[in-house]
Amino acid sequence: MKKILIVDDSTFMRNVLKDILLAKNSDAELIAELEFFEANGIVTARQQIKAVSPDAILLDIVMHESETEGVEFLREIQGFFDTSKVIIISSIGQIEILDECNKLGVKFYIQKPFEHSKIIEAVNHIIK
Amino acid sequence: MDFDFSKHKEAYIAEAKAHVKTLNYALVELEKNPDDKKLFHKVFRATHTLKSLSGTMGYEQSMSLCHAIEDILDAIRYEQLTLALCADLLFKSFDQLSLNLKYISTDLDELDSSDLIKQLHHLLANHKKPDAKSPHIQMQLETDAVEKIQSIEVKIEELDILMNLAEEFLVNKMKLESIREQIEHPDLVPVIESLSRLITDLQYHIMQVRLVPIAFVFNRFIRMTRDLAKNQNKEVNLQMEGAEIEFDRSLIDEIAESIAHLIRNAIDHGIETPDVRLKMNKPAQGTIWLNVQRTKEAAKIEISDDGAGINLEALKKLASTHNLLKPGFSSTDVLNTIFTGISTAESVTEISGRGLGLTIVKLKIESIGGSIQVNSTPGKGTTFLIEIPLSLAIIKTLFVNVGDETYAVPTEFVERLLMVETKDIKGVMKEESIIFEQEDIPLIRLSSLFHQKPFPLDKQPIVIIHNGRERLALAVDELLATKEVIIKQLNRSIKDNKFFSGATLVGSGRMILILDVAYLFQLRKKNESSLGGIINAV
Repeated sequence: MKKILIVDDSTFMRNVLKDILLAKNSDAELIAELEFFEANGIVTARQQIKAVSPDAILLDIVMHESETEGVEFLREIQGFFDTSKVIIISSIGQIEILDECNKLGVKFYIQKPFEHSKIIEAVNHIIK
Repeated sequence: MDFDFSKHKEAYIAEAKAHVKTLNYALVELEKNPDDKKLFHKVFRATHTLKSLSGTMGYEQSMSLCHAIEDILDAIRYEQLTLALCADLLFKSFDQLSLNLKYISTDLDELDSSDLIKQLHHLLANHKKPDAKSPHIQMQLETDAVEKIQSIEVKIEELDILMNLAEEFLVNKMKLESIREQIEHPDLVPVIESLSRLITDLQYHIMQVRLVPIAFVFNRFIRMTRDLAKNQNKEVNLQMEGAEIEFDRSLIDEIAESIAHLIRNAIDHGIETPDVRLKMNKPAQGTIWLNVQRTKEAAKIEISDDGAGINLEALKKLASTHNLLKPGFSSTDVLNTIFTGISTAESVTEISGRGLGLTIVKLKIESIGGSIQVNSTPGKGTTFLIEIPLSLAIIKTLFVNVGDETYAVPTEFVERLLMVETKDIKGVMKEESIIFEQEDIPLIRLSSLFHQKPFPLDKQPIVIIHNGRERLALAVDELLATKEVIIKQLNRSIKDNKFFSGATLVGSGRMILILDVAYLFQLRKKNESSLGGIINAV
């Protein structure tokens, strides 16, 4: 079992992501079973990372009041988490933000609207 | 998209609704403070998120509409357009988004938004100034990030079910307690006590869950005020205080409409147009204050305006013609006739519009055990004060039998229980008393007060109650057990309900009335003062 933490302030989004990851689809399959953990904000995310030590994190970079909160959080967790295990969820046209995340060690990002195969691919890469 | 997201529909609707709410109130605030970057971000973020959510669910119309709104917001951000120019169209778009949600929730399709989108694009194309600011993304380092409260949305029906279950628990617990009194088993006592505590806790927490900040309904008033004022060419500012105070969800639902009505009234009939106001040396912009306070026992909501006030003279004339004023009336009495629904078709004074609505408001508030008062100064403004007792109390009561009925006396006021020989009761009729701890304590027979058949007893059970200063002796037929009960509100406008502060449901489905101790003391005082010349029989 691999542990994945989903960080998004929308309950709807978190449920959608879980669904996508759990769906049995012929074009892509997870290489391991996933145990899900969730956080609806930065504070809970911090706690979860420290409590659970996830094998992968899905992080919504677009959440909350400011454009930089997600990026600042990445900067912070560099100290105690391997940011190459973070998958950024972003919207189209956030090139600068993706750039910043890349500089902070992130290698994968998925864009809304979601493509099932791309998400599975990214997760598989990380939990290998 | 090859996915079926329909099971997420409810979550989508709930979140989307919240975002539209944010859009509405944030844009109203932004109109007043166009340079507030935080507010702007709020609007932008809500639109953007709503676009994502809608896109994920496949709601193309809403998604495209949000996209068009985003484009407008971008243009405003880079100063190619002004907010003032776009506000009306933006609000129209928010309304369309709301409507879409309504349609979606009843399994209908979204509305066709292509027209609205065209208008938004038109606005963009025709008014765009050449770039005033270069469109680079500003990475502002917000060091005071607001942490979100962990919370979820729960269906009201579910909470009601939980509440009912908790009450059932309590009733069964009471039954268990009375059985325990008959079966003496040492192990039974601690278990039942533990059960009691747990149930009380459960009830308390369920009631806590139903608590919602009153801002929940107040937020729509902001938008309502803006629209109404605009329609009447008036400038009105709605100030709210205490909106974070929490109340039971059902209470808020009950009074929301009433408060909305009072605000509408204030705008329609209270606040004058800017030119009239300026002539009176008032600021052009009128203000409506919505002030909420809460004590342990009651919620106090004040709605006041600095408008024209109520035309006392015209109202007095109108009330007189309807024979509503008794001789010796005060100005308060005149003002209170505003709740009686008088309005004349031919009259064109300010009061005619206030018509039936206020009657309904008063009835509504009284039906939940509350009260409403009005105060007004012509030319200066009007204030409505609503007071509502809160139904969150679980209290300990003493059950007593009086004739065929059972009543509950809050044990907070019970000092002692006695058995008194009939011969030791002094005095006659309404002037009886007993001696207790060397003091003469007035006696009230509940059987005569509540029109029950008096029960002849040699030994009379007595409940000594106190209000902190004085004591009263209540004669009952039988003393029963003490029980913890949840207070349900009574309709205080019904005359006979004055004796009771509430009611409670017991296991058999019966409603037991809870005595209003304060009122009993008041009554006794009234009786004493009016019985000047009666001689005590010896």
